[in-house]
Amino acid sequence: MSFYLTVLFITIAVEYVVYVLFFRKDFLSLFFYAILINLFTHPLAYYFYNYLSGPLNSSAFNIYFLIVELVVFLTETVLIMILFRIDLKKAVLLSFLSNFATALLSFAV
Amino acid sequence: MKKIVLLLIILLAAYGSASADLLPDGKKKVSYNFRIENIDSYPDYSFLVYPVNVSNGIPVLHSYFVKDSSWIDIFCKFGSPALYIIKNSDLNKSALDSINSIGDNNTRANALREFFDSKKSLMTRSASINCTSYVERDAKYDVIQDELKIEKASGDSLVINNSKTFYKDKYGNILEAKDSKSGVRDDVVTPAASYTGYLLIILPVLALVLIVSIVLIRKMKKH
Repeated sequence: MSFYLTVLFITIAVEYVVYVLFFRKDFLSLFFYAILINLFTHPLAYYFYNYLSGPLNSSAFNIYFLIVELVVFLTETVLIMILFRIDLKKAVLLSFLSNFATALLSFAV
Repeated sequence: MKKIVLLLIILLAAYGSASADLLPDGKKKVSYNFRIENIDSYPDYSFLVYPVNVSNGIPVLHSYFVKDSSWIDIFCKFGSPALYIIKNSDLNKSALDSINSIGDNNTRANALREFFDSKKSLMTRSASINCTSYVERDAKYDVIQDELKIEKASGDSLVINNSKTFYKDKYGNILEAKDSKSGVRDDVVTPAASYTGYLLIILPVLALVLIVSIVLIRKMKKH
């Protein structure tokens, strides 16, 4: 399996766990929404991060990482609000938690 | 009208000549970087790269310290720099730092030349960096990465060999890899490199279509 698909699956899995811990119900819907949200944001984030920082950048943490993460956070907030039909505050919190978890994981891997 | 046509011709000619100045015919620009994988095994020595040009226009020359085994990106429109090794005790790092911080290009270039000339007897030079900035336009890769290995480093000799070369696309996928012994190594070539690019476009479009469909279905159900 390609490196990219592995990273994508891990991201979906981690965000799904965060959603499950947050809602604690409708597990199948949460899984479907986790896939949808990440299929939209992850490829774009991956592309723009590589495009902006280039594959030469040996450091995973740089200004481009922050910019891409911020855009992903905002986009996912909107998508979470729409798909989960929750208010803005909860969407911001959930988006922050899920992206924080995956960002932490990206440093660990 | 004639004036406009003339102006367009002049602009096109100027654009053509400017482009030609930046990019040779039939070539594309690639990034080149290298790393010395076992540099940590030589703590008593300093490794310097010189002359490193940091400009695409007129030469702007600097010298870099190779501090660790991380990747170093260099641009080499005006040729490959060389690697130098010198004992830490023979090198005045702050003097070299202050030369590198000189603002005027010519003054810095002259000072660097003088510095390296004056240390000639204390330094050993290796020509192991094989820097490339332009390749054939058809080449699929955008990045060339050389992994260098110090075979021998002492006061009077420096033997650095190229142990691996990676050819990568702009997403970091390895398209081809060569080592110094067996040539092409299939085991390190990323087989998915060719379709990852398509996935990055297809997946978000598919997801967006599904998200919009869900929203529309919900609205239809409400009515």
